[in-house]
Amino acid sequence: MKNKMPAIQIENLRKVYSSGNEDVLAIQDVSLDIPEGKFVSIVGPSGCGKSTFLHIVGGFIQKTAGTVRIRGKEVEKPGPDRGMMFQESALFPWKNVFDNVAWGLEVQGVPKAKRKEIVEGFLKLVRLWEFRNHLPSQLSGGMRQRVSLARVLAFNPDVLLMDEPFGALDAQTREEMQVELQRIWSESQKSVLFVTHDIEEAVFLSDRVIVFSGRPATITEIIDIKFDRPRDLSLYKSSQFRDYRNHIWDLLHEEHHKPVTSTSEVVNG
Amino acid sequence: MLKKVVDKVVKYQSILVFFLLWEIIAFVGVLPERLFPSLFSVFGVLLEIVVSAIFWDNLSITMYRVIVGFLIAAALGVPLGLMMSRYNFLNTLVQPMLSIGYPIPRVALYPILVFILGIGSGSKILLITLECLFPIVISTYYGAMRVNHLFIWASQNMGANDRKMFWKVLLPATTPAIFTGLRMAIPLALIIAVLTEMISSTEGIGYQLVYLSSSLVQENVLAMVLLIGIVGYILSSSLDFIQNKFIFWK
Ligand SMILES: Nc1ncnc2c1ncn2[C@@H]1O[C@H](COP(=O)(O)OP(=O)(O)O)[C@@H](O)[C@H]1O
Ligand SMILES: [Mg+2]
Repeated sequence: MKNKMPAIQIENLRKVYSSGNEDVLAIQDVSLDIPEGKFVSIVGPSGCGKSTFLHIVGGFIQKTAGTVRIRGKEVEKPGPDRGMMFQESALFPWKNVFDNVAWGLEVQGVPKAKRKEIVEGFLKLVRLWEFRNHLPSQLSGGMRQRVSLARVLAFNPDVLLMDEPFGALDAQTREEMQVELQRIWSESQKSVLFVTHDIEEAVFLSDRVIVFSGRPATITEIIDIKFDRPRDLSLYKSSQFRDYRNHIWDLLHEEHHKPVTSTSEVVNG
Repeated sequence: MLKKVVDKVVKYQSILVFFLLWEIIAFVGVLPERLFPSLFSVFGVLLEIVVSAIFWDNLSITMYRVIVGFLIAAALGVPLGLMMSRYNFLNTLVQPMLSIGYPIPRVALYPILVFILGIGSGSKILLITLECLFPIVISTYYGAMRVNHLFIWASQNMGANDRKMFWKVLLPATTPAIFTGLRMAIPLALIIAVLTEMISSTEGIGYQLVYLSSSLVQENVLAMVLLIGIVGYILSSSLDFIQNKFIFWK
């Protein structure tokens, strides 16, 4: 029974932004399950509602309709059962690396000695223990994201929510981070809901890729990625990888063609 | 060492030029000496005042009023500004008072405060607090509104309650804006202290200024005004020093 329950369960989720007198439908009736211990990615065009989706699962913004459950428990507000990594760095600029990672534990009343042990473990996991006394502003973008990951892992959430965590990094750093994340994830065995607009990143990292349509977000297709782990970067060159990639690319681009066809019809007519 | 001196001269060159022009006018004597005494005699008087015990007595009384009034304003204004950014009802309550209260010359209330609290320190401190509250509340509020909401979300994500979030995240994230408000407030505190002491008091550097000006010797007044300027400069610099300790991360 316990094994059957999905880590995240979303039913008929809907989100309408009401700003002024205009309503924007961002998410339209999305239902999906994230199985325990799996790495699931959402890909979709920019502005389709991916961040909105994660922010609702995180409890940071209110949904318009539907239900979100984490291990069967309905989400109402933010909480440490879900570890969120935001699209931009949310590290506290006035705290050094160590204190940033330790803060969640401090808030939850973990004693100081225990705190140090945990922080040390995770900073070593992301290979940044030597940088524990640095301020976030003294780190590179990739290092900052690794600290963010350590901070989230440190308070031991049931699930990880990651919103384009490598979106701002250069291609090389991004690939390094993907390998790094896979290593860390396989050690932690957590369920992950990962958002990206990078198809290859999604295929490389995921057990399952969920393709979102343009706004309002609906699910276009769900694709299981059947590669063994651990995966290394040479996977990028395999033909099966390219098949997955091309298939998802087509799904995302069919979407873009639709309005173009209808416009040309109007012009012709 | 020499470079430091040169840097200081460059930084304060406008003041040096001002003094120089003043001295030229005083020297040439185109204007009556009563209006334009030589700065050398002004500095002479200034030194006399500084070595007198009475000046330090007056200064300590004025400083007491300035610092207490300022600290009360900070202790009230910072939490108020922060809370206004979080609680809409509080903001709707306070905003109209700020917009209406700001343009009012609050010194005009001083006679009423004297009537209620007497001519001692109480009425002066209250007016100083009132005056300092405006820049502190306004800067804090707008600063808090501009705090990256991801900091707040991240703290909630880690399980922080409202209290922890408020003091451990919102407050430090707003410190740069808070210091902007405090920097605007500190000269106001000094000005109001001197002004109210000039209006009615038997002590303080404002009182000493009035007392000295009754002698109709211009040097006395100018020396005192210059001294007040120096005191203000020292106050602001101390605040800068504290600010740099707090906002090391910027
Ligand atoms: N606070 C908001 N108010 C109104 N509209 C918003 C708000 N946040 C996002 N949106 C709109 O919702 C849509 C989805 O945004 P977002 O979830 O950020 O997309 P993505 O992360 O996929 O790029 C966009 O069209 C965006 O303009
Ligand atoms: Mg986004």
